[in-house]
Amino acid sequence: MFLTVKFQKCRQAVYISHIDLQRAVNRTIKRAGIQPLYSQGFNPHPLLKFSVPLPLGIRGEAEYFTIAVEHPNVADFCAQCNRVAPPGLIFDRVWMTEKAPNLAGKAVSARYRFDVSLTEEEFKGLTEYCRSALTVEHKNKKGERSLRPAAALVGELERAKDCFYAQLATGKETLRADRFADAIGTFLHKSVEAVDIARDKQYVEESGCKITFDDYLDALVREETI
Amino acid sequence: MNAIDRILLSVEKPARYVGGEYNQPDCTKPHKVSFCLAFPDLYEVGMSNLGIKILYDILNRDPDVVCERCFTPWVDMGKALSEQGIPLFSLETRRPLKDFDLLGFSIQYELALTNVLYMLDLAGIPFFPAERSEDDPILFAGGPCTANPEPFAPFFDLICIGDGEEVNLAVAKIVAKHKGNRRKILEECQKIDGIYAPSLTETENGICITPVKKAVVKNLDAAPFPTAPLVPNIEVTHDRPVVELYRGCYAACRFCQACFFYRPVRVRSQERILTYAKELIASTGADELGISSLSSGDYPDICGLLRHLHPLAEREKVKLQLPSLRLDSYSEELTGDSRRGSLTFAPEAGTQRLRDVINKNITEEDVDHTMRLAFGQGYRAVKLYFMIGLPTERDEDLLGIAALAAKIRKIYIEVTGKRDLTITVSTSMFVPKPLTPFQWAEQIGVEEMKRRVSIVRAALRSVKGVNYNWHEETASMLEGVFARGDRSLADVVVRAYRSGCRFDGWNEHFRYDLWMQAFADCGIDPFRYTAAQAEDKVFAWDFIDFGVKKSFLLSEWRRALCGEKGESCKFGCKGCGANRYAACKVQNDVSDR
Repeated sequence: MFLTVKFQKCRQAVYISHIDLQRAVNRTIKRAGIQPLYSQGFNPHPLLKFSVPLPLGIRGEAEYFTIAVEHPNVADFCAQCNRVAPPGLIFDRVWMTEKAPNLAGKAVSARYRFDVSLTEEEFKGLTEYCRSALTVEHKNKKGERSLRPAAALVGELERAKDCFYAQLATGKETLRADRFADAIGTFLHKSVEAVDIARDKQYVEESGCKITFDDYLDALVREETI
Repeated sequence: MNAIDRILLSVEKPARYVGGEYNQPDCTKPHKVSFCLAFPDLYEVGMSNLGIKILYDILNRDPDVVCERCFTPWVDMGKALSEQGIPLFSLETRRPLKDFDLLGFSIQYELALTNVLYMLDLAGIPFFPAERSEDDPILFAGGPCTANPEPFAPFFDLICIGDGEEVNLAVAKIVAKHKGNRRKILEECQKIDGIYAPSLTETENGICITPVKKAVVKNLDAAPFPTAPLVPNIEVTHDRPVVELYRGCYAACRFCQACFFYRPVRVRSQERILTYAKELIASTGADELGISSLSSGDYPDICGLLRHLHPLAEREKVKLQLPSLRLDSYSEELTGDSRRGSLTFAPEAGTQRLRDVINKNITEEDVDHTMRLAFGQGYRAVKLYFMIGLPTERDEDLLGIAALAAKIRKIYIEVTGKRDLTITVSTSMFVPKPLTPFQWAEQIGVEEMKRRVSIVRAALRSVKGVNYNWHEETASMLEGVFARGDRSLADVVVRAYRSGCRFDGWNEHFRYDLWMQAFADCGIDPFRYTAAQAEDKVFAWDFIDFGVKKSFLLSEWRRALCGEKGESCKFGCKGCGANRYAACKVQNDVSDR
């Protein structure tokens, strides 16, 4: 059986890198007394898979991992883990499925909240910029930097009180929120840094429609129950 | 978002500076005294140190004490702190170091001293006691370099020599009682065994003459041990919880300071070790567990202990990490079913003659027997550690390193029929250390070190499958200066720091040229400390009573020069003197073997 867990990454935990996060979650699960299934081979490790990595410093309000377990205990999973989790890792919800959902493979975009206040005019200017002239810094595997057009990777933008939201592409082509923040910060002449950003939703595409991970998982559970 | 968070994402590995590890105690609790444990190296190195874990746990358990941590910020973070005018702070509450009552540094090796000054500078704390006010923290040092504390004594108010478990808490209580009266604090602390207060001592010709007795925990089994240590959020150098089996060592290798510094030999019971092992696995969720001591193979009934530990590790899906084993104590039972990766041994010298001089009692038969056993078990890689520059060493001893590697390769082929063995040979430079029989020995010069390394390198080229690593010579020479140095070196450290030296233990940052300039500027010849020392020399550390008698060390030195090997004290006391402080666990019982 597979348990897909939704969790938050906040406070000091925002400084834990993706690789270190895997270690931190592994240890939390072990401390909680949960028995994962292990891989075979020379160096057995828990069958644990994360969805899309989050850049360092950005808060995660909707993060996910999937773990294979033999004897799942959905009711108590989050409570057990939260008792023994490091500060800043908060386990919120669990879905149990027979098949692994492969969220990382299906992800198409994520919504980020930027805790920066914009006037209506600033937001209008930002929207125009993002739709047409947006370029972000890109680093290739050799570490070489270049500027790339990124307008096609920006989805819906929404302004709210004291913040604004932006949907950015993930999956086949990813627009990193911190690189996006650098670009728009330059455009707006404002400081927009990683610590001002939170990822609060992630999306898959099902039958041509974008739905949140939560809705996708709910549907998966319903399907398997039927 | 505050100023610290703004700079964290501009530096490498910001998690080094934020704390928030699982098992972190409440450092906001009401308290009478605040203590900051400062480790003069990176977070990843300091969080691997068992001594820090032990002291952190003991101090935080006390209702009157709060203990936090600080590690040397990497150069990018140090630069950012300076530029932004942010004083160096603790991990748990971001309290500036200057605001603590006590600031304790663990001096693990001689090249950490500029990092001590780097941390003080970033914290805005003056280097010397006379420059500090009553509002500044009491500066406290501990760690294995207190075998000779004199090169750094001028910086510190108090120094703990020996076991820190009882002393650190006692000092904290005195500070709590006499806060604001530095003189009174030092006077009261000086009465504690193991405490050295440099400003309150008398000197003669620059050498301290006020006697200080080493602190010794008499009953290690009853001593506190952290069974719920902090779990780092980033990978650290030794990323696993560790159980200490025993303290001290029987082997009496003549170059080894730790052996004599940590005597008398005190042992933890198997029951206690197993209890700690279970608690550590449960409290950390680790997938590896280490066991620690100077020579784990010499623990009484090590096989019996492992017969319980291996099944526990398997049940809990934890890999048991054994430290390097002595070639004369290796057995199949020790390694159990652990993954057949690489085995590590430290023959230290390439010939039997030189191994006898240094009292590393490993024979060619031991090498043969152990390697056949290990290769028969399936090991495919061996790491071998040696030293270059040992007393009486000749070129043929250096060639012996290659001969030993060749012999091991030949055994592998005989046992397995294969030729895919990887041998890694690592050599470090011999550094004569205080409190060893070799404290009178000469340290060879840098050019001679290079010559000897080139002999080993050339000889190893003819042995297939060998990777050779060697330690940087100039750093070893500097280590040798500070190991047997005196108080006059403190000014050299300051001069070197001011000219830009820090992270001297890191190759990419070590600046030999700046150090030599610092010595010249201070009018000090560094080579007087690395030269051979007369037998009647009064050493800077002779005022400390470690238990082990100087006369014992001298007799061992003389025996070494005659090529006479010594004996382990495992099955019979050899009279070093350490048992004046506590009963030494000599293994007379047959069941101990």
